[in-house]
Amino acid sequence: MSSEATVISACGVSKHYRIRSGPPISLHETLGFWLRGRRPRSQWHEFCALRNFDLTVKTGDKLAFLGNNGAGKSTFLKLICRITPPSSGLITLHGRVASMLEVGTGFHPELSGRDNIFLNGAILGLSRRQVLDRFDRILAFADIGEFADTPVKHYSTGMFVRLAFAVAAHTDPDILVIDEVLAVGDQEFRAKCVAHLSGPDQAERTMLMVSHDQEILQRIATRGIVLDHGRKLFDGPITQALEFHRAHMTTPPPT
Amino acid sequence: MSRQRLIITNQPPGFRGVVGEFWRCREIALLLARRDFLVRYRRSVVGFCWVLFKPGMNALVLTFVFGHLAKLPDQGVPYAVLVLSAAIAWQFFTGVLTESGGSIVNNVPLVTKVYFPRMLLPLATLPVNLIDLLLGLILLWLVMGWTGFVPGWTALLLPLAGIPLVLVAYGAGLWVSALLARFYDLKNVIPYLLQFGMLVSPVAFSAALVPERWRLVYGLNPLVAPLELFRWCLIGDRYQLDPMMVLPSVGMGLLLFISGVWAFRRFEREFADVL
Repeated sequence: MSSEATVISACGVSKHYRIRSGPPISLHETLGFWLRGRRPRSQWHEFCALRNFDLTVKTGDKLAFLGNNGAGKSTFLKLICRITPPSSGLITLHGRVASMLEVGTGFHPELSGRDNIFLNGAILGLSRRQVLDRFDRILAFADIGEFADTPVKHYSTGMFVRLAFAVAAHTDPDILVIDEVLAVGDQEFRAKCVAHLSGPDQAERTMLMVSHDQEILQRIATRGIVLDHGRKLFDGPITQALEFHRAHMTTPPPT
Repeated sequence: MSRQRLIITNQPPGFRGVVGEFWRCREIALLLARRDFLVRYRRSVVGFCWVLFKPGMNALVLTFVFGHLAKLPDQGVPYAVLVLSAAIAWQFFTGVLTESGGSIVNNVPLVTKVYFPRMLLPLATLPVNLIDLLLGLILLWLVMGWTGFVPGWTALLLPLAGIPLVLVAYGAGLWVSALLARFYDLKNVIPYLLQFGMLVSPVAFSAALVPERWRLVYGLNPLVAPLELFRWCLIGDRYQLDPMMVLPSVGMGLLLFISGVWAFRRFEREFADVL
């Protein structure tokens, strides 16, 4: 497959959420609606998180999504990861997707580091064989030494985060989706993560990321997309995208 | 290099895609089950004894009330054996149902942060409860030895009788997990439904007690077939089994399973949005 092949193409993708003002809906209320044969429409309003979004991503692209809170960045990542379906539109993916929307998803405090590596690896799409192949590399990257068989509830926060990130970083997917997780660990470990993600062996990997840390984006990303209220405002090289974002956003993003 | 191609729209994926994906992700179900199994006994001192406590107490009380006080017919079988042989199957059903019910809402981080077939979450409750069921069988054999009861050759067919039990339990589990994710207050109703269910299902008594003309109606309870088949296997072919009751009940069980899959697929796409 040539390096110019399309891995993601999104066409007219929208995502609406139905938001209800007031407390969450209970069974009692729903039964009431059914008995009356309709829902009280007035209490619902549609919230459009992503509006008619088009995107083409080629192999090896490192995409950064920029925008203020609520611009639709995370929503798009959730659609790519199939956590929630789009309301309309079509996304075509070529290749395996692994998501790092949160560090340590599915980790159980009572289980040992070793057990958690296998469970987390499976959840992120690896077979048992593949986890075994990567096991030593994961332990080395996490640098947790002799604590592999200790329940993770006894880990320090730093160790926990390092292990969780190490598993996610070694899943070797075709498409890696990262949401705000680079802000983990101490300075040293963060530098290690960034070095890992921008390393030469990652050239073929397609990445989609959301981060408020402009320095990290500058180092890893090659292309930036600026979103505002679910619409695409800018799509181009990362340096220009960062400048565009700075110039057009009235409220600066928190760093 | 061949890469899998995937199209995401607002339509649910086709049935074949779902089955294939289920198979690819089977390891997740096993690892989730392993996690639940390890966590379950890690902090308890008496460990496995708890598993035998519930069906054991159930059988004790039910034997006393229905066997000794009410003096219900026992078909020549020690009443404790009659009750316990169905009580362990009932325990499996309630275990799967209650744990499935929590499987989505207790794993919110998994549901909102990674993708895998959600049906694996209720499915992962089956292995742990199957182990409990096997332990229950050991208890049953101890009671049989104590009462001097000799089981028949039909015990060899027990794995077959387990199939309708697993289908009914998983079907009900799918319904409950999907509904609980959407309507969390249903959680309060489940203990009452289970209590009611135990009284209308043949746990404390033999289904042969049901009058002839009501048997077809009684067979509409999907639990009749698994419980009675279990009992028949464990007690032997001297135990009366009425096909008029068992067959419609098997059909209802299948219906429960299929509708559970349907309901779960209908609700699962909303999970990440409503949780």
